[in-house]
Amino acid sequence: MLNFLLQRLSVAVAVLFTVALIAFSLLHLSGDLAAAIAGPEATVETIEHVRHQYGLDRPMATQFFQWLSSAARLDFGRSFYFESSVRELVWQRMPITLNLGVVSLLLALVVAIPLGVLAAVFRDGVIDRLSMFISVIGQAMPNFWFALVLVLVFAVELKWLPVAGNASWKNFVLPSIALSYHAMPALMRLTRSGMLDVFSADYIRTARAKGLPAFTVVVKHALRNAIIPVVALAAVELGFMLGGSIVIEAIFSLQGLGQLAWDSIARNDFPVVQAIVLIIAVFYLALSLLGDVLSALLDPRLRKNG
Amino acid sequence: MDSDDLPIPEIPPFESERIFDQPPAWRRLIARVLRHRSMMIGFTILALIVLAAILAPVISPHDPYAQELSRRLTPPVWHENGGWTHILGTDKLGQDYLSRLFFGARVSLVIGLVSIMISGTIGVALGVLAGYLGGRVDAVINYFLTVRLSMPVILVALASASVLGGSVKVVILLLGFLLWDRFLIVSRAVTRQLREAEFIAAARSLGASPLFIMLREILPNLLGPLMVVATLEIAHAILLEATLSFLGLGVQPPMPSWGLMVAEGKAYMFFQPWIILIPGVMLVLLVLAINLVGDGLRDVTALDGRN
Amino acid sequence: MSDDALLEVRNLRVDLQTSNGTLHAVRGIDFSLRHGEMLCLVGESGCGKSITSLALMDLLPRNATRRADALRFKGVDLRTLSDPAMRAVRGKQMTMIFQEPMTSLNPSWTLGNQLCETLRAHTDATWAQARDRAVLLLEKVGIPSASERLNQYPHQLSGGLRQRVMIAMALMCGPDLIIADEPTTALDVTIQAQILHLLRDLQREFRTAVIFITHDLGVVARIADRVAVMYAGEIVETAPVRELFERPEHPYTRGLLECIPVPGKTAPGQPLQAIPGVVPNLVGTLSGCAFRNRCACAVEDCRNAPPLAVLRPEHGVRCVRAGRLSGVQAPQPDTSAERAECAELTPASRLAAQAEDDVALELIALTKVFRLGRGLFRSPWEIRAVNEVSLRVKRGTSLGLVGESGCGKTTLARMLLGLMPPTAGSILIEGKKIDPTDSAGHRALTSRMQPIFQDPYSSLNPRRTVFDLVEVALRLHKVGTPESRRIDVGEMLDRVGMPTRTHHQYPGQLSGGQRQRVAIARALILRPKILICDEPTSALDVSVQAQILNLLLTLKKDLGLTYLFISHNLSVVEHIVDEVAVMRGGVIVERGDCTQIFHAPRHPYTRTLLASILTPEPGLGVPDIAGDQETGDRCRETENSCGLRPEKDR
Repeated sequence: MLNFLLQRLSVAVAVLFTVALIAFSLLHLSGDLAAAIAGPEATVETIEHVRHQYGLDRPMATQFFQWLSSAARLDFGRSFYFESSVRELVWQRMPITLNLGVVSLLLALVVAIPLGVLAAVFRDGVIDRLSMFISVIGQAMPNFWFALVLVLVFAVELKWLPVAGNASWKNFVLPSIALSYHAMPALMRLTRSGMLDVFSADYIRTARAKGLPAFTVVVKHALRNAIIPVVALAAVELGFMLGGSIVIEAIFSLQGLGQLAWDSIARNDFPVVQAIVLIIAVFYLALSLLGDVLSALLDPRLRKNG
Repeated sequence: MDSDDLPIPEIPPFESERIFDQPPAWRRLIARVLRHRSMMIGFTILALIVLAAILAPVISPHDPYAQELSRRLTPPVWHENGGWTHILGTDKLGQDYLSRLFFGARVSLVIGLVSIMISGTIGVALGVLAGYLGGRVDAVINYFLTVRLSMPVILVALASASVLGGSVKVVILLLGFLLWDRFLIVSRAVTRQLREAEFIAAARSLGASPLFIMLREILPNLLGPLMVVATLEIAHAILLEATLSFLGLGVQPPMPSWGLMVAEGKAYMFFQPWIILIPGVMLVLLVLAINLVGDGLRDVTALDGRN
Repeated sequence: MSDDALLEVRNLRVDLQTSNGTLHAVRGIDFSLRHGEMLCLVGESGCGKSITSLALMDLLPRNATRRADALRFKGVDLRTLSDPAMRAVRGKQMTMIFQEPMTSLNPSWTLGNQLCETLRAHTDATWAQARDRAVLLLEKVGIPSASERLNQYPHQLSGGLRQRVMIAMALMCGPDLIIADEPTTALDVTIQAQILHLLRDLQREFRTAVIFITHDLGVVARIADRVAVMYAGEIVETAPVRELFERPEHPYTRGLLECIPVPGKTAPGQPLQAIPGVVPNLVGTLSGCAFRNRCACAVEDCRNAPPLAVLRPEHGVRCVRAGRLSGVQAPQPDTSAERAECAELTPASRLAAQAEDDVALELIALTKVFRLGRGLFRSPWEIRAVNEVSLRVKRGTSLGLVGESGCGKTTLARMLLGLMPPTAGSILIEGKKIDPTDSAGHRALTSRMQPIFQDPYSSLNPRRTVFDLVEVALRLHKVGTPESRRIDVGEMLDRVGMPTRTHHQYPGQLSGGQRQRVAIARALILRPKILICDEPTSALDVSVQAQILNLLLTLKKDLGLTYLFISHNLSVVEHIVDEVAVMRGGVIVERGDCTQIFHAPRHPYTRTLLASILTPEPGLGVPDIAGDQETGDRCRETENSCGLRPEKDR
């Protein structure tokens, strides 16, 4: 187990390094940074001054490793637009996005797992058809459009919930629904197909041959094994949700990381974009590692053999 | 012991033995497709949209770019203020909505198809290499995959599009170089299974080169699962194009794109909900149809295995 | 039949809905079972024997429907029971043991948990009481340090031990009937003998009735009280075990008994009495006798469905000519020519005919070491899968390599075929050293030596036609023109018995035996001198096995081939080879000519292996194989799970 963790960690570090390199090159592909920072009306001298001040006249490699070493100390430089520390900005916005992501994931799991189990147990029954219908529609809806429809129905027509902002918990209801509806079909289908796979396993036949009650067979023998890949997917899915939050936050004007990323891209505020790319990568890697660890804990075969 | 020397009569084969003489696989496949109801629904919707896209110049009632500022935001025909000149109304510049929908279908389909051709090639090539060669090659490719997955598509696409500027070409290239992950995962998994099959060992014992085995022995066996992935990924690409266009970094106006139409209508949606509902419903229909076909393909090809 | 019957089945029918139509898996069978009796249901794959057992347990798959005139178990009609009432019978009074010990236990729960839950579901025993019973039974089935095993997970046990646990689990509630569905098929022969012995002892001790399902007539002969032979969803013959083996009546039963090689009875190297044709697939309607198109004694009357005629007490036969065939030799397929030609070549004379130095294949100290767990942060460990194996096979003879799973025989074959580089040692073909790792050497190797694999379902690319599958070998080696290749391939397919109409079919449309014929044609098209046959018949039904063995014998003679014949089935090996090498733990423990090995084995392991052959001779009982007591060490599983051996255990 320890070996496995160390191996995965070393891969994760290599991956992060590459992501950093990509983020960094993106910044430098975008044109003359010094000119961008100094603004459209700056004179040649001001631009040169800025170039020197930001260290943009040094060799690329030096710049990269400088940026990387400060990023490793969580110092992502200063935002071109806000003129403040990127770390502060990110720190302020992070809780909103994390809240949104975790709530959406829980919502998705609470709906997806029971539906998936019931769909598998009553295969081709009403619940199965209904949940398949929901998931097919869910996969077909662009989430920006679904979010807008939610606003139209619940905020404009019914006036139950606010349209946008982040004043109270009510503001999180619609975004969470919109975001979770995106992750739900995958989780539900995996639960369903996992359960169906397990149902055809020999040990389920053994359990039934022993005359165990149906509930014991489904929950103790089937779900216990089918849930393992779902847990791993759920962790990874949370990582994807952080990416998906860009669109949702933009629509509901939630001041989270996603909104910050979108605004910064629009403003060419690249230090912020770089930092967010890097942070989301860290989250994704940590979560997929967590997913592996959780499934190893759930599966005795992996637990012992590492 | 009277009948020992009776001649053995000619015996017709059993009904049941026809199993070994059944119609060729493709004909059975088509029979199964025709029986798969949701897949046929998907096919029908998809065919209608494809037809509309191809015939867009012929069937459009108006020039999709012609602006009639005096008639901007005309509601569709079923509205009390609507009329038959603009069946689905007009947008904020007075451009005919129906015509823009027809031409928008072209954008969606072209972007979906072309970008998936690029990403499919990348993903399958890497997947087969990783799955067949294994070892270090697999580790390196897996590392590429992790890098790709740790950067959300939307974020990377938005950032790159803002650098490169939004256009159909840029969107196609971006999606082409971002959406290969699923192709890779599936083709690697299937290749790994196939690698253990004895027919691969047989080919190696006949002296076949690794390239021959990958292209001629493995690839034909990947086609079934890859068709499924490809349809689902086309749907994915169409959704992403719509999202990018919605966020203003995809297809640029005045070109008609369904995502862009939603974005342009967003400001008016509180009073004229149809303006976002129409292009949205079209997107849902198109993606739904493709997904139904993809899911159907999965069901139909899964049955083709050994009983 | 009698009032003391434990189980009585009348006209049981099971239909399965498949994508190709309705499959009549069980077509009206009758049988009854007394208390404490061992009934064997025997038949080839697809004859409906497993479906019958699932129908009794009410565990049929969703697409199946069960109908019967009576299903009486202990006086209760099972057809009338509600789901909960049936559940109370299942596991308590009627239990089941399955074929695959590796997958029949839930990997996520401890053995103790899985054993105890059975008792707790049916009685109000406490956990402590259930544990006591579990420990008692684990000791009964011969598992050492039973109380510690309760906290282990299934993956920590070897296959044999897991099957013992399954038996203990079946006994938890003291059932009246155990249904065992091929419980030893997935196990090695020595373990099989141990498990059969155990089952027989327990059955006598607990006075439990057993329905034992198997395809292996050797097993049947040794353990059954009574036998029912199934064919195409019907019971074609039923009789007490001695009666059945000594006076078989149905042509199918007689065919089955004649088509398996039996050491000491069938003449080695002679063609076997194969049953022609294939087992019918049961989709669609079937009228009359199901066996008539493979039956050498068929008459016009066979178009009418024969009833089960009772010939002697307890001996029923479903054949219109029942009772009139005994003593009559069935008309033989025309093999007299082959027989005459083979007759002069008994194994000893065949060997003597060869000059000492005429060696086709020689291995010198061939070794394969697997280094496992090589990673950044862990120390590697080694498995010596093949350890300095030296062998010589003379031209035109065949060498049998026998051993149980994990002994390294498949690894050896893979090295020979150039699929895996050897760690050390060398391969010589006709005296010339071949380096399979360089491309020229590999090419030389492939044109002289070709494989036949075990699984005909995975050894043919499903996307190529029969013709293409064989032709591709010629194209790879750039042999001939398209026209010459077409003729060449056509001739080869004819030779292996593939009719022309099949040449453009895909493997999915062929039966198992036909597929194996195509694999043989593909192996032979480059005119190699040596064939490496890795368990070529172990995935086939016995009636088909005989056809393929006959084909291999004929080809060897006609083409002057040399065989390296790898198998776990000693009876088959004895029938087909001249020399035998016994392999265990990566080394050859004994080798010699076939007669010597089978009649005067020297190594104790060879003796154990030979002792565990179950010839179809009723009354001999199951041999008591002391073997090494399995300690549950997982060396075999470790090797398996590391994917070193893609060989499938069936």
